[in-house]
Amino acid sequence: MRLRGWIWILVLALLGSFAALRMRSGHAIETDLLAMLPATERNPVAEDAVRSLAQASGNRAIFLVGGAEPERSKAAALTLAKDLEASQAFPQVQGTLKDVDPGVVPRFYTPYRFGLPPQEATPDDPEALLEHLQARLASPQTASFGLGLAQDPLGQMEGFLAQLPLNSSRMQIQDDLLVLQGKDGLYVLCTAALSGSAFDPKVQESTRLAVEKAEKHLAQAFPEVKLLRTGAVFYAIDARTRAEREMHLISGISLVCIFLLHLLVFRSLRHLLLGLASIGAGLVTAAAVSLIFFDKLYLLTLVCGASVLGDAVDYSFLYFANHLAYSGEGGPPPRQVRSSSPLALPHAVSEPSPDTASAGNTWEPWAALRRIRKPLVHGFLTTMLGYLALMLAPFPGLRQIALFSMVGLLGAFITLFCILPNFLAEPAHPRPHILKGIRGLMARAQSLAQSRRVPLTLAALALVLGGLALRGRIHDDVQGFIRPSARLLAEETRIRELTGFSNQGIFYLVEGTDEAETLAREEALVARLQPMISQGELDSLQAVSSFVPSPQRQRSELEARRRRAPALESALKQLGMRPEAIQTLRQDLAKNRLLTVEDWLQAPFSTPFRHLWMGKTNQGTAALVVPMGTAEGPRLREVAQGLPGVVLVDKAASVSTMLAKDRRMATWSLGGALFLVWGLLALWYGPRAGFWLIAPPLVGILLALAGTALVGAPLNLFSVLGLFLVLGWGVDYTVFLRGCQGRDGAGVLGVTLAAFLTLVSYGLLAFSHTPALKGFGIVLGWGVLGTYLTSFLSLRSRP
Amino acid sequence: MRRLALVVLAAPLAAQTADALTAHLRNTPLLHADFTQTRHLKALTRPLVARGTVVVDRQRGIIWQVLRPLNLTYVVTPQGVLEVGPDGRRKTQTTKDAPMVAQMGRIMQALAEGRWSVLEDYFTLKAQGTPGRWEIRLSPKPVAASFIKSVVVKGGRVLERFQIEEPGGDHSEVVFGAPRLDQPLSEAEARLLNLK
Repeated sequence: MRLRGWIWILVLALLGSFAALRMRSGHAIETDLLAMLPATERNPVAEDAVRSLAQASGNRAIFLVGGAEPERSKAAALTLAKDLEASQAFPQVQGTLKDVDPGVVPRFYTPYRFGLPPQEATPDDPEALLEHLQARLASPQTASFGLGLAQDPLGQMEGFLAQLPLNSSRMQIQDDLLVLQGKDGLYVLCTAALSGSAFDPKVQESTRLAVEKAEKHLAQAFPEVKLLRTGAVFYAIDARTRAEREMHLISGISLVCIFLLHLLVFRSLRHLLLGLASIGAGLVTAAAVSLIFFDKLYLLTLVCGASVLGDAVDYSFLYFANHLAYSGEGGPPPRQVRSSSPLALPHAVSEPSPDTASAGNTWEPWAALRRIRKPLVHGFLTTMLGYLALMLAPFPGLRQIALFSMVGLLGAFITLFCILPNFLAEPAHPRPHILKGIRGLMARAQSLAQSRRVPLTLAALALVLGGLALRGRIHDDVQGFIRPSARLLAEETRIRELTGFSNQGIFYLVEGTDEAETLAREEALVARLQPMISQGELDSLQAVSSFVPSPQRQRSELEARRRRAPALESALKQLGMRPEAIQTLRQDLAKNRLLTVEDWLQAPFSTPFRHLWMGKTNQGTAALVVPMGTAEGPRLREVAQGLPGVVLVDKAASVSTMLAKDRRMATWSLGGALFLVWGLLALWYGPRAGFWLIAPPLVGILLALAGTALVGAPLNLFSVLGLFLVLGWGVDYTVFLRGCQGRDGAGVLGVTLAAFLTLVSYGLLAFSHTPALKGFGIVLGWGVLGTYLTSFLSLRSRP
Repeated sequence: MRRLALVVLAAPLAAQTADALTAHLRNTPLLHADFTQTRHLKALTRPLVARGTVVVDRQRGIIWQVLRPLNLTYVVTPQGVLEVGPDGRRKTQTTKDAPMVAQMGRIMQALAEGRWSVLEDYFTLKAQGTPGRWEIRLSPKPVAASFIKSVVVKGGRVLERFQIEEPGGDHSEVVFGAPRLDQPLSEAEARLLNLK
């Protein structure tokens, strides 16, 4: 073997051990599909907020257990909680509220109570105050939920406590359980905290096992009871298992095809092993280099990577096809081919190539490689150009897919040039029947290519396909990127309906220079949103300022209370309050403290709301206000119009907008790439031949668009990116075909094998359940088919 | 010893017993009565007394009308709560706006009608006596313990007396008198029960 072969093997070994090391550390695969998306918000704090909100709602699994018979629902919920707890998969399972003390919250607020704004105004003069007090005490509401007369004479703190968004209004406590009344029965809530991130495969696995087991038990013991679940972890499990299944399926089928093609066509284990070696080299380089540039590999990259298998093998196919074709021409023994066979095709079009002449009748691996070097390099460069367009998309996920594919192809390419010829010194097993068929095909292609009717037929075809393509519908929704299983979505929708929780990732980001300004700005926002709650557009609001009023507000409330204290004292005296009780009240008022966010964060009951407070950021202090209800993004944005420091963050809408923008951009760059490739081809082959070389991929692109419209799939960024690949590979085919069109037919064989494999492996993506991949698959399937069927045009020598 | 065993056995049956003892309350479609509410608050030197009338309509709700020391009306219905102040000012809160109020309304209705099982989410019940003279003692479960210490309800043919103790030492008592089972609903009362 030549020196460069050894060097490449050494490089591969190094890259391989690096990749293996990183993979084994367990943190090389990213299962969070959203992580593939680029930052969509102009404000960096908004991106952090999206993440912190996702984390807060993502670190637990939520279950609702319900059925027509309330007692059965409750028993089932307890069974579920017990099973989940027993599984040890969750550090904390909250099924019952046994240890909940409703006194905790009133006790926390007591020292700050004179600064907490009440819900209702109270009268000012002693007469009216006395009447107010008497009315309160005569009410049939027997026990006070606040502090009672001595500490909160006018029930002002009670009013403050009542507005706290501590519980969903629809939830009730029954038998120490949180229950919800649904139309079809009683539902019981049970939540379980995860032992780690929802995107940690270990956490996912233990959660999946525990929930599956508990579900089975529940189905046996309470067959009539329904179990609803939601939580990021279930979506992550769903996405991961599906991606893994698809990856295994696609790579499995690709591999089977690769095995069959090698064994059937070349009848040699050697070719199979060499083909696999070039794929393996491609994958190793791809994984290792991607891991150098990216922290983690995305799942989609691996799924796409499985398809790169089919592409990496194209180069070796072309080489092997040459091996087969040239060995058959009467090389050194063993010679088994009849020399009278009609293999020798007349040179319909012969390019003046010294290689053709010098090839003679002997197989010489390095010379053969040199002979096809030009089409290989040209094909490789144009494919790289297609991927390069993906690299330009401001989409971390696509960049990674592009890098992975480019490096993978490069690895396979280098392997072909450095290693493969070393092992192909012997001529191939003769396959006269295949060669005969292929050459027949070649002859047909050549005569077809020269037909007078080509231009007209082509124009008509383009017209029909173009017309069909126009019927396609553009759809840039985020759903075109990720679509969870229908069952999970249905369960989540049901849970939303029941609980009134509606977290579609829409929230307000409120920013100010400090805590005081941020809280005050929140209050201004909450004041605007409040009417939406009374009108039923919103169910509730989550905001830190509901728990901690702004210092300005606390101070002005405290001042008002101090101003009115004498009037209140005189009313209380008339009511018969003991002097010492009045004295205590006066002292409490005097030493009232201002409540700060820090105080609140220290209290255990703030745990479910702590993520709302982002605190100090690079640009001030930030907090989130989360509206819950049916109101949608545009309405919510309109309501907050003009408020300083308040922006609505709607990640899903931002992603959709970005997908649309990138689709438009990608469409324009596809046009640009077409011209660029045509220019390159014109430079290499002349403008006329250049046109016939790019015509087949153009037909492929039109067929891909028409096919997408025909199957009713949406056109989006991913379809356009697929078109880039159709262009890249299509030019591969035509360049291979034209470059190897000598008497051998090797080009036809190589291209046929490559197109067949690409069609199978990428076409399979059309059946993927991940919309992004599905769109890719549909476009590539139709595109490769169209290109292959018209690739004979590249042989045309007439205008 | 035997008595203890009986108590243990009886405990799970308490709600049923209470419901059975007072089954006749639920058969009363409409009741008018007078009431006297006395509150003993530790912070006050003297008890606060309020007097008025109460109307319990099994289907539509309760009207709690205070006549002394001032005029006040509370109407509790499944749809919401209406409050009419001494100055005639009205305040309506629907069940949807104020879930807390709705909860209180449910409890009041349940108490008035002797549907004790509704209260079991908050209290443990102990019933004794006969349908002609019964007493039911409610001890709070942990969820309610910081608001209430105990409730005792006594009655015979009709509800007669509530005694409520709060954790801070405050306690109050409501005594019902002059029950009228045949008095029809006046037009004004019907309007109030429609929250109008």
